[in-house]
Amino acid sequence: MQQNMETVSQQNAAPLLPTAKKQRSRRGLTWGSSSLLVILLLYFVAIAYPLFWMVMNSLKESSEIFSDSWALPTQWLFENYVTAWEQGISAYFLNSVIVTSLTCFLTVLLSALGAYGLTRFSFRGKRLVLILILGGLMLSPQVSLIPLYKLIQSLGLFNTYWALIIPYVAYRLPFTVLLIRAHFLTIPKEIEEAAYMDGCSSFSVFTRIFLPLSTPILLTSALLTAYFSWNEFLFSIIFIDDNKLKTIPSGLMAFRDMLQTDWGVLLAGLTISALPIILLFLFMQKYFVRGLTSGGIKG
Amino acid sequence: MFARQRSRCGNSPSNKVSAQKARQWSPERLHCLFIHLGGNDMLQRKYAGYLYVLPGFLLILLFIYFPIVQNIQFSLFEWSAFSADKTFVGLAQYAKLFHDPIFYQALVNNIYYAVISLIFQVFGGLVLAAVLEDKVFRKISPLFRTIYFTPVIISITVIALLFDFIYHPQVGLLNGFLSAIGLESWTRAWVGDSATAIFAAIAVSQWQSIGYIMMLFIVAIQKIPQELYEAAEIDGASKIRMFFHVTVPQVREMTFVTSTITLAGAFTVFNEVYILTGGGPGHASEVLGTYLYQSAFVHDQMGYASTIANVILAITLLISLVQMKLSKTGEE
Amino acid sequence: MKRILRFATGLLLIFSLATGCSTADTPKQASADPGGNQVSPAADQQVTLRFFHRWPRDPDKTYFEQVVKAFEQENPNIKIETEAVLNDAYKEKISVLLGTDNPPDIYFSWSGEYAYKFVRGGKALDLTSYAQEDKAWHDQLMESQLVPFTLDNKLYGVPLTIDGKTFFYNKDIFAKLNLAVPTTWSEFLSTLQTLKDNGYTPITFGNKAPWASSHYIGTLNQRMVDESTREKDYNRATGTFEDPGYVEALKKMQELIPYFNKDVNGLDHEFARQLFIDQKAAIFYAETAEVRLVEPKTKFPWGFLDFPAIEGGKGNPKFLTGAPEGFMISATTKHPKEAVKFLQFLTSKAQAEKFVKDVGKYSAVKGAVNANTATPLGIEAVERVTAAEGLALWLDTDLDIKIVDAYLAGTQQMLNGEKSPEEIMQDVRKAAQQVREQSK
Repeated sequence: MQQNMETVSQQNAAPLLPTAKKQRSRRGLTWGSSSLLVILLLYFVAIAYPLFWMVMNSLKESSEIFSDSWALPTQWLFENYVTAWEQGISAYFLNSVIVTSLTCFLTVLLSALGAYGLTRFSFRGKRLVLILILGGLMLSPQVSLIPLYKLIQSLGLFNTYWALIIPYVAYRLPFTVLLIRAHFLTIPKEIEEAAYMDGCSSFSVFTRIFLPLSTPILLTSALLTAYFSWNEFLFSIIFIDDNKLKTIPSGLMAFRDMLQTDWGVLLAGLTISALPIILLFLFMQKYFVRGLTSGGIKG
Repeated sequence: MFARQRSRCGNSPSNKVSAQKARQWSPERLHCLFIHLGGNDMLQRKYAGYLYVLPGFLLILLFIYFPIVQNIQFSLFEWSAFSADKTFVGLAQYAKLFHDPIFYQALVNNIYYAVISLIFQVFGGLVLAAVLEDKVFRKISPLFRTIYFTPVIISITVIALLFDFIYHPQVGLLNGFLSAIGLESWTRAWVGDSATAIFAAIAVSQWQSIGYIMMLFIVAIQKIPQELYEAAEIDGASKIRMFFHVTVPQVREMTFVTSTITLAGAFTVFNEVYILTGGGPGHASEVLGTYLYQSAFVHDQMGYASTIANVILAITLLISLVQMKLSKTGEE
Repeated sequence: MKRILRFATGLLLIFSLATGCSTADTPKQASADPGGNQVSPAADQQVTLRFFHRWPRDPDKTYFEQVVKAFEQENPNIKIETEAVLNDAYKEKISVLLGTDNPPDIYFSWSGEYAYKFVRGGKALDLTSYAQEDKAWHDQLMESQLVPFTLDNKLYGVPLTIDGKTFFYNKDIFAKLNLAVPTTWSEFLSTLQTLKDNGYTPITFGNKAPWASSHYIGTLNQRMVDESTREKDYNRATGTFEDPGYVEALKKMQELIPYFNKDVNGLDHEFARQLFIDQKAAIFYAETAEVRLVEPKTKFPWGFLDFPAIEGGKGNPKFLTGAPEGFMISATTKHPKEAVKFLQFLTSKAQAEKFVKDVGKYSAVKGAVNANTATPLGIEAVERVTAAEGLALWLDTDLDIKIVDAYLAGTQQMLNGEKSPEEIMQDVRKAAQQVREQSK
């Protein structure tokens, strides 16, 4: 199939080649596709330019940003990055990594187990459990902000990493359970029945059959969870109050307040916060997209 | 091996004693339960199901449902965060809310958010996905896909703070751009102007999230059997026809998923608005999320904040019920 | 082996919740009760105090770090954990923290209603007896600055700074245009008109964070409404805001709109200050605490300009808008003595002088601002604050937050030309009515 697509796209590079039968639609396609290309390019610029602008101005002095934010820096102030890093971005970054990775691990683990239980077993109240889990999908963290604030305190989690991790896991579970469950439903029953015949326990069916067959969807779940916990803002500004424990979203707010009009350093801080993740994504993307795609073919 | 385990903990009559002993919550019983997971017998698998589901489910109960219930209780009282006494006021807070013009302002803004997000994220994301998945753009689509997706992985705080610069009335990128292309008269204080503040925040959301929804649709489109397109092509269908007659019906389930995500996001939005406008000027860009936050932690009206939370809850539940009715998710 | 592993995984799963909580419990107990037991603290027992203020920026940040260090050296049995967040975030955060079972022992507070709210909530320790015990310390604090921390004759806070609001004006521009310093409202308006006619931005104003407008409104209310009426209205139990002076005050603010820079609601206060420093605007309404932020950066002579007297206004024109800021001690602290000791250390003459010198703000300790510690402009600023016949406290911390919100939200809209003074006052009266009912 992949080869087939390659050939097609080569054909399109020389659109006049194809047979007479398809000519009419091809010509319309050329006109349409070039205007589409323009739109794609404009959108490309709309996304990329602000990011480029951020990097460019992060290398300037504030007064230079005020006077001309479009120009390239006259003097490349890499010190801005050093300043930003030392002023606290390094700590926020580490905190975000800790919180995000623990959240991802726990979420994917508990979701996969839950999805397995929901798809492969029947038990009393399963429908209720399923409804409650699906219902949890629609219950947003904001709604429970005040009781959670009280709950986190009475559990003694306030102002610890767990004050973020545990609610994050809880609120990601419904979605990831749903996602993984949808995939588990597509795994044919015959495979596991064969395994049971061989005397496998359900747990080893889970670890040996379901997990390997679901690597792409588990990765997707992990990435979506990471996306959530990396970005989460509301809990992180309320449940953590120690500057040493702040994650990037809440840390940056403190960072901005601290800097007043020192915009160059602030932009440097923003860039540092964004860049490694972008790089990581570019690096992981092949894996991610290939995972999604192969999952797609299987489904 | 498995047979032996079963005989040790399971149903064989010779094991009655140990089974009784195991009724207490002991490690041994746990062990047995776990070995029950291996059983094919439906009775045993009942326990196993519970065990798999339990850890996550308990977490959901404690951190999602318990607060929801408590929230309803909280909304019936008038109370302050730093005072122990609560005054029972019944439904008075709800009555007050439904006469509160700021609440309606916020609700309208959330509705704007929802409609615009549906158009740009769900419809726009689907179109974008379809275009990028089209054979014509095979070669360049990985690059575009990557760039479009980039904002998704950047923290919303970074993005909102960046747009704070972009919207800056005097040195911002947007006004600079408008002046440069001769649209000086269009320049304005985007987040300081009541007419544009909420849309400025909504725009940031779209900028960040279209790529995410697009990616989900790309996955869905890649699942569509190629033969359907080939068949349509043989019938001489145009690209647009193929989009509406093959792509759209085929990604129906994903459309429900993305609409749910988008709508729920629109009614619970907080970050962009809080960082960019704080709900201002006046209450022009207030959304339910910021109003809830303000009521709780600025105005110290915890009961009123809980009331707002319950309204958000009702709205999001309504959306989900409609979605569930329309889609088949949650059935099969 | 595999079986054991499976069993272990199972256990782990089932108890994942429990362990998750119990491991997290340990640090909490450690921070909640650092002494580790409930026995009354012996003299040599280690005591940890949590100290929460609102100055995460330098030079304040460093100053407080140094004070804490110096204090810890003098009192080796006391350890202080400091936390700081800025302004608006502070207002939100302190409400959150005081709502917990474990509030900070010593926390920053604005004065007036803002502080009284904590007192009413039972969150502030009564410091009266401590002040009586250490008369010498108490007497060196400016009497007038204690008033806004006093409720029902009881002292609940210790003022750290004094602060007042006044116009900063660019003397170069005034000289160039031959402008005299205006003393009345009409003179002020014509001065602004001249500035505008000559291509200057007369007043720089950034109201993106709307507290900025509260300083104008606070001053104008004070100028327009007579003292006893204003006092009655600012009291949460009796405020009605019926006096026509309040509408007039907002109308005066409206008269200034043409003389502000463009996009006031889109710019923050810091940016507005920058416009004054860059000589793009001639006048800036600022706090005396901002002298330290403006003076080192300006390359032109500038001075203070009193808020003009308003014709027909019933308030005393010799009043100044401003308020002390200081610290309160949590009513539930386990170590009140140590906490008071720290505040006494913080407001000792030596520390106060260091504060003025290092931070550039003005201390509420008598005589701390002097030729050794401050610039001539700074000394002049303090003289203006202490010479005022009375203080009108910051509107945004003196009134109940619901009334403040009606004011500030309304003013933002008025600045955008979307709301009239009358409409704002309707909202304010409605809010005042709610507050009255609540305070019953």
